Amino acid sequence: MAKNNGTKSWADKQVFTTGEAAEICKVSQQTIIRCFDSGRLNGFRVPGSRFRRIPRGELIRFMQTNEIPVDSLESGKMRILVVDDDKEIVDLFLDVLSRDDRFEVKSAATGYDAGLLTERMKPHLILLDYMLPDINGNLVCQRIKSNPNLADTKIIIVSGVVNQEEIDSLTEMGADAFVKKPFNIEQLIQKMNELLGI
Amino acid sequence: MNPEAPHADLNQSRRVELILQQLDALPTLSTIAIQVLELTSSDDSEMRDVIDLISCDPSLSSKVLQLCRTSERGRIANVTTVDRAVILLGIDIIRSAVLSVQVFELFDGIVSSGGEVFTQRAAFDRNLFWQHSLAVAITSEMLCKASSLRHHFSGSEAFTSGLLHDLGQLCLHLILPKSFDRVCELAVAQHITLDLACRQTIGIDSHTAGRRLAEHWQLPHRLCDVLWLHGQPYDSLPDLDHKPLIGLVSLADAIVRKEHIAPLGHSARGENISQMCKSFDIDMDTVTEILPAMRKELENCSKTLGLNTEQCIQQLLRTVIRANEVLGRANVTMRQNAQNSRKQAQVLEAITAFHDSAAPGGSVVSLLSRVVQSATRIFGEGFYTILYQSRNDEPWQLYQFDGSGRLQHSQIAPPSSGILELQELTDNVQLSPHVLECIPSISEVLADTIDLESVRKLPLRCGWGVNAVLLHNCPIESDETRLLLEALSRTWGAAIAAGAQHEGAKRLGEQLVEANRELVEAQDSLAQTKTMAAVGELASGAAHEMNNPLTVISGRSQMLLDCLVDPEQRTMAKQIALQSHRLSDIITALRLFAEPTKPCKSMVSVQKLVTSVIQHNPNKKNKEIQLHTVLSNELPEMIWIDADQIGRALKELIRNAMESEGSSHIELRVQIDPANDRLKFQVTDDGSGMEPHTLTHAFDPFFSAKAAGRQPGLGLAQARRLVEASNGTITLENGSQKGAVGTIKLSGWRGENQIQRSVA
Repeated sequence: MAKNNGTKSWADKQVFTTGEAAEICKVSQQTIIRCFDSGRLNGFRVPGSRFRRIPRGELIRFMQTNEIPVDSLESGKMRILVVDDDKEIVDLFLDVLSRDDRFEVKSAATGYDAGLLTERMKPHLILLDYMLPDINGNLVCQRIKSNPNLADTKIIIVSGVVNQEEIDSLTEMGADAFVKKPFNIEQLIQKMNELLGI
Repeated sequence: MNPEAPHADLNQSRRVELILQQLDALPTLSTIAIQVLELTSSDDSEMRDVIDLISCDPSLSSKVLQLCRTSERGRIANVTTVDRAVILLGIDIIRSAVLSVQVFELFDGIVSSGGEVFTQRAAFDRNLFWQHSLAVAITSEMLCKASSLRHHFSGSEAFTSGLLHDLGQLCLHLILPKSFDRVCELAVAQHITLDLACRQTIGIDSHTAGRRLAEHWQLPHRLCDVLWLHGQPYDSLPDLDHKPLIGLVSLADAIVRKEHIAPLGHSARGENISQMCKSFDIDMDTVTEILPAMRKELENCSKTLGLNTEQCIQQLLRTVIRANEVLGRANVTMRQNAQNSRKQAQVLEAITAFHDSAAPGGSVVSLLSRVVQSATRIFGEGFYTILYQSRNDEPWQLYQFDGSGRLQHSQIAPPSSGILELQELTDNVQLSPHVLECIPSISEVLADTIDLESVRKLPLRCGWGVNAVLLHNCPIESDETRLLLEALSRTWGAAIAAGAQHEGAKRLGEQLVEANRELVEAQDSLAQTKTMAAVGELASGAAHEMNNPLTVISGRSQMLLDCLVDPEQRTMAKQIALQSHRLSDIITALRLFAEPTKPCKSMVSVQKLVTSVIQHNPNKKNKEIQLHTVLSNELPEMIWIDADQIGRALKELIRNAMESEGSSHIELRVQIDPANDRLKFQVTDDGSGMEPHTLTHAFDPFFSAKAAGRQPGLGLAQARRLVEASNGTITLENGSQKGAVGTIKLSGWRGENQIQRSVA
């Protein structure tokens, strides 16, 4: 069984057994089973067996309802989502940010992927290219900011062309900061730290 | 009767028909008269039958006996029986006498029954009519007997024909007394024949009416034709047996009318009596001879018929007086006509002179002057002023002329609500004080030069929306000369309107050229805008496409820098990063050059702006160059501009000054242009100045006078774009002695409207 203390993080896990849930919530497995069976903790049974399984979202909802700290589910790192259709840029960001062990970085090349990934990983910060092949940055901004589950997600727009009118409209849509390409790495990290409060 | 105009013709013919019906309804001759006529017209009639018939009618008998006593053939006083009288007088005379007596009594009877019509003084004098008829009858008879005509017809037939020749007038007068009176008056007033007046007023003339009545009464057809055709030229008569009879009556009629024995409207028509006499081989002496005898006979016959027994001389006097009256009236009319003709000739002459003098294509003012000159020719020297308006929505203009028509003073008539009323008043009446009150602005101007009471106006009818009024002080009789004034006003007006049109066309032509010029400029500007838009689009695309690789280069070089320890290698990595950023800046500058961001003005301190501009010293190598600023005293502390954009433009000017060859001292002066209150930034250096070619192209993108060492970005070109975005101007010129002067001028910098703008 993987432990929370480093060898294995719960952070990536999407579905939990009753045993894992008991460990995370620091209660007995019996309690979890009772809550599952009474419907207070939603989940499903593995088809063809009686094994109970609990999706990550349901577990978090259960823990929040019962005021159990969700820290143990987190890795402790800041989840960063890089969205850019240029693979070289994505690679650059991944290389730059992975040197810093405070960041956990994922990337998407399209607005669609970005939406899916945002739903799943609930990033603390998104580095968003304004010009995406399928959807414009302001729309991505708007979607994220209108989702209550993502209320705390910060967005930095990264663009080669940033003029004042666009900045104004993006601020209205919820963008938190702007970085012009090409950027100074130190200044970028500093701005991210400011937004994330670290 | 239907008074509607389209049916006028119909009404006329219907009325004539009604009149003819009334004619037919007149009482017929008595049976005795008809029988007498029948008997006497046949050759084999028995004298006895005629005598018996006449004896049956006492009044006829007495008249025949009376006639017998007064007849020229024999004043046999002792003829007391009808049969003796008939034998004595002969069948022909009896027939004439019967007809005359019958007709006379018949009309007399009708008239007596409807007498009230004749109680008033009427134009048609019945008494005179009978006098005339009798005179014509007697003259006809006498002429007949004195000429070879007696072989064609008897004197008594001539007498009867003469007596009844104007019977038509009598019956028209009976049927339409008032209308016929009016016809007589009209004939006198307009000097036209009674027949023409008759046709104009009633629709038929007395000849037609007479013929109709004669047919109704079954009079002999020879008599019928006399009634119908008398008065026509002898040669134009149809070739009838009794053509000489008709001609004779016409001649007698003419002679009698010449003697003024005629009712109103029958005065002499100027027939050539001697010519007419020749047709019958009658000597003019004969005519002269028979006239006294005729007058005497007329008196006798009048007595016999119970007509007015006025003395011949009195009657003559009366007719002479009447003729004199007519003559007098004709004289007055002719004098007036002559006067009018003189005036018309004068006006025509003036119009001709005006046309000769009004050169085609002259200006409106010169035309107005010519109008006044023309007016002085006709009305004499005086006060002349023209109010003129080239279009209904244009202001009125006031042109004052001296006595001889030279323009003395012109001005725009101050707008006044009452001025339009001038157009409406078309009658040439003296301007009343009330009217002048309506245009106080005009009266005020004129009061110094003329007594306002005497000012009259003559509206000039221009048409085409052009309005003009001639103000003058000339006494012009309005009634007689109205038509002439109208002609003058129209002539002058048309000339003014033509002048105005010509001037308008000229102005349109000029406007067209101006519009063309503006269009060309607009096209240039549009072309530049299009070019800029294309550059902007290109730059925008390039910025996006190029910035990604630049980002990778920059990012990787920065990462490389972190890995490197060797200082030389680190420098190289740094340079890679730096140059990639510089490249990106160029792209951004190009893009901003093509599409400058809108100025974002705010209230900024002049001092702060200037400080920030000079702190940014782009040419750090040239430490020896001194830079100092002069802020004019009248400057307010705060100004309303886009500090960022104007600051960048100023920096470009300063950089340009610093790069100037040999410059060591640069001055930035900020002041207000007193001429137009524009804010003026002036950067002056003491260098060698600029070549003309450099000056011309200084603001072109990527232009540099220097072969090498150019600055990145777009320099002065960018500065110009930024200044123009704020609706300002930027210029470069050489100083009066040395160096160059760069100037930025801005309007609207006081920010009076900033509150509205921020609200908007």
